Amino acid sequence: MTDLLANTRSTAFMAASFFLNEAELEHNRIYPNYKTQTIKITANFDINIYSVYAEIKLTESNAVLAVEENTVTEDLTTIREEFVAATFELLQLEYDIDGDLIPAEVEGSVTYTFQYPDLTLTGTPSDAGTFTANPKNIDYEVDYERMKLLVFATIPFKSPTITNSGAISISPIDYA
Amino acid sequence: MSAYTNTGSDLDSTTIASAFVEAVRRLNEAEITRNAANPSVTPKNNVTMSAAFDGKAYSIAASLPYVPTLNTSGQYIADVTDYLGSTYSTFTPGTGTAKSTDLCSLVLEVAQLLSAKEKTVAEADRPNNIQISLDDEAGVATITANIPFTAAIGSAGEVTLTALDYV
Repeated sequence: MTDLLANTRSTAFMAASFFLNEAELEHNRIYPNYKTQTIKITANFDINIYSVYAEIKLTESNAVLAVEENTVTEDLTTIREEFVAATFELLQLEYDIDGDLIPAEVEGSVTYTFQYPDLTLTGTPSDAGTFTANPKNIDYEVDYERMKLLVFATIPFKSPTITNSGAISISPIDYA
Repeated sequence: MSAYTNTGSDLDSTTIASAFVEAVRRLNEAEITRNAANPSVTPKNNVTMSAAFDGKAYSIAASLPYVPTLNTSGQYIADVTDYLGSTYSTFTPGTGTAKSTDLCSLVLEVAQLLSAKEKTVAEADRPNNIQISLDDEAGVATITANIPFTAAIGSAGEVTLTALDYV
């Protein structure tokens, strides 16, 4: 189980994104003939925004879509599931703020659930001072042609601080 | 190891690659501060900076206005214009490696240090992560760079990027 090291859902989402990115890079180092990349993260310092784009392969079984088992390492599958879980935790928060609910159905009659076992998100969102009405910073689509979950997110971060060794430290804003 | 001396200066880095990224970040931040404080005037966005985590590299681009001159020995001097003004761009050099007194000049100075350091590497192994070109006709120095970094996730979910000392 991965400790997401986060106490807000936006931070948890970014931590899950980084863990997935790191896991895939490590996977590609270990298995250079079986490279995989499902997530791309960019930090834009001009506008202090993380851009995250992910394509997570899905499988369909008994009308339930689940994150596809990875044939090379189970760990990577677990981390992808955690990323999906963090995605929907943050989506749920945005929908809750909107007063809406995450739709139970999309594009037709396929009812889906996302399975993400073995996940712990620590803490609860802290809204003090940074509450944003009607945030729309994360969205998703299910690509049925390619059986993929597509995740799009733009997560604001605080003005990066420079550490006393000259490194740059970035913290996501608890925007929702 | 490309040591950078930061004694008494506003920079905290101890390698040239890190000093370059830090200088760019400080100028980037100074531009943002200046633009926010002066919404009625044309914004200054002469430097852009992003970090890609799949390739683990900073992508940096800067266009710095400068005035070409000759010194008393006839040597070429490119004097970067402080286009932000001292309110936003003042840099304290201390007794560190860089001698500039404003962030605009500092970026070109440290870029030149890094570029020169790359050229000390044997040609077969030489990296080319930074490129500098001077256009005297336009009076603009252009810097493009892709600087590798390592990323570490901290206890509060923050991510700390450390420029690699690649030369």
